[in-house]
Amino acid sequence: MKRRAFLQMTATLAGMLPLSLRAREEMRARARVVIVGGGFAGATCARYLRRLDPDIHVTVVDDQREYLACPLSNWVIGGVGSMTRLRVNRAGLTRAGVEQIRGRVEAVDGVGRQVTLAGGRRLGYDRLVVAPGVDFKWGSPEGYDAEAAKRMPHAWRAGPQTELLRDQLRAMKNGGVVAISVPAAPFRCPPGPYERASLIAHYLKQHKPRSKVLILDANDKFSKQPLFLEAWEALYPGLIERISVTEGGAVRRVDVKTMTLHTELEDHKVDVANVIPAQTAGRLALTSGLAEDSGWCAVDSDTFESRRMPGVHVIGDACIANPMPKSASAANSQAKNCALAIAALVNGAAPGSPSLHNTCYSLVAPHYGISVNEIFQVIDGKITVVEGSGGISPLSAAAEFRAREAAYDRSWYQSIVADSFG
Amino acid sequence: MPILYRSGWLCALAMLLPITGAAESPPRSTEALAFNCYTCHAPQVRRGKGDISSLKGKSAATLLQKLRDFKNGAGDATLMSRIARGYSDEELARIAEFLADDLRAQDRKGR
Ligand SMILES: Cc1cc2nc3c(=O)[nH]c(=O)nc-3n(C[C@H](O)[C@H](O)[C@H](O)COP(=O)(O)OP(=O)(O)OC[C@H]3O[C@@H](n4cnc5c(N)ncnc54)[C@H](O)[C@@H]3O)c2cc1C
Repeated sequence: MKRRAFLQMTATLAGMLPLSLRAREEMRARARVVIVGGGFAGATCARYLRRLDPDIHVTVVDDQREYLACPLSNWVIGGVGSMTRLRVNRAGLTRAGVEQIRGRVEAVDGVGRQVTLAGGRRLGYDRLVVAPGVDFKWGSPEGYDAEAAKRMPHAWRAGPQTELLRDQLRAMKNGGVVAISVPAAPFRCPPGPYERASLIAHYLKQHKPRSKVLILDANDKFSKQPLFLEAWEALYPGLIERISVTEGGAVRRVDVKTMTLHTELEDHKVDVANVIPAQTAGRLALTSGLAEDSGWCAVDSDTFESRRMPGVHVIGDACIANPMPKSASAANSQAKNCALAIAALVNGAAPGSPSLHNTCYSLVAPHYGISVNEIFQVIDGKITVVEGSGGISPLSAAAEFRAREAAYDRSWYQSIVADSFG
Repeated sequence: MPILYRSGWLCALAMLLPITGAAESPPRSTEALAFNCYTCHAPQVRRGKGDISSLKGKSAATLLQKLRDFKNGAGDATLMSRIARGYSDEELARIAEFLADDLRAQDRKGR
């Protein structure tokens, strides 16, 4: 080799070497966060991570082509809204610089810090966020499974099930009985069954006034109870009947062929059966060992990091965050606090103390809204309601007050979708 | 990580006010407190009559006054008084200042 050429080569190498090393170092410094599930929890976490630290590489993996939001799905069932409003566009995540992958995560390797997708693709992470929502406990009540849901819709995941329940109501005769079976808490959206009962009653009152809603409840008390009872008395007298668990209301077994719901005391033969089954965290949480025996995931309240798997955070419906309910609002707030914790941790800083919030509106009639809310702080590792905060809307409020809250409910939905999905 | 909170005169003012609401736990970070506002008050949503109000273009002083009124039960809130009671006066001041700054910054970015 000629000397000049050799000198040239070493010069080039010398110039290249430190550069590529630096580049590699930068790559390594760019923390990688993978988020499983692009619902309210996962999407919010992704967006806020990018906002807090644009150097973090964020990937959201979700198995659904499009996201159908559950809030407002009761409106569709009651004939007050259309399915189009439930469709959420995830393009805002891409605009925020979030990488989106369509696929199902099937395994989590907490030691090797990687997840495996159906089909075998692997993604490495520095921090993993698991936000898979809920899955149904088929067989609870007995006889209720995916097949039974085709006759007795749960409509507890927005989509074809929502339309099925709505269409069954439309096809039902005047004078029919619509049963809603409510599982024992905890389940997704504590006021949801009662909002649903209200909006179904709203539909029946107009179109099939001799019909009835029968709530068969595996609980004694329920969310916003005094407000719901007041509204039912005023708007739907005699239309809604509820049998609580102590009165023998819990459904133990269903018979699809005869459209019968069996409780301990009675057999209820009904015309439309909306069976909301018992729930657990999304299946991945169970198969990957993130969930407790209860079926839900225990987390550190300050960071939402799993108590079972370091480096993995669980947020939204899947995590145990008592006394926070399993709601979109709570999921959104948990996701922001989790993003703050992760942004601190990947930068070698200590996470700050969280501030958590929940607001749940329910629509009882198109211009009659009610709400419940709480503000939370974490004391000694426990999520705690800030004393004096929160509560339910006032009882015997003016119609104008209820109308304002109904308008705020619509406005809340528009806002939380924008805040979560961009 | 960018530090988004700058202390200012509003906080100094808040120190003089009686401390009520949340206490006895480590201070909640300003971002943690204020990000929760955007759930219902997302700045990118166009808002009309009867909707949840927009916070854009409001000064920290205006926002703090509003929050303090809600907390004290003045005004005609449906829900905000139940929320404002969840924060100390010092926290409300930090929230107001953060929101005013952050919304101005977002506006400049043209979001
Ligand atoms: C009828 C009804 C009414 C409701 N009304 C309200 C309301 O008014 N206000 C309110 O705040 N909340 C309401 N909710 C509750 C709200 O819908 C949930 O709390 C919220 O969706 C929880 O968000 P999440 O992100 O935890 O789960 P989800 O929204 O369920 O999102 C989870 C996502 O993860 C995906 N996923 C799961 N597993 C995997 C995997 N292994 N790989 C890839 N992707 C996966 C799923 O496909 C899904 O897209 C209501 C719920 C119902 C059923």
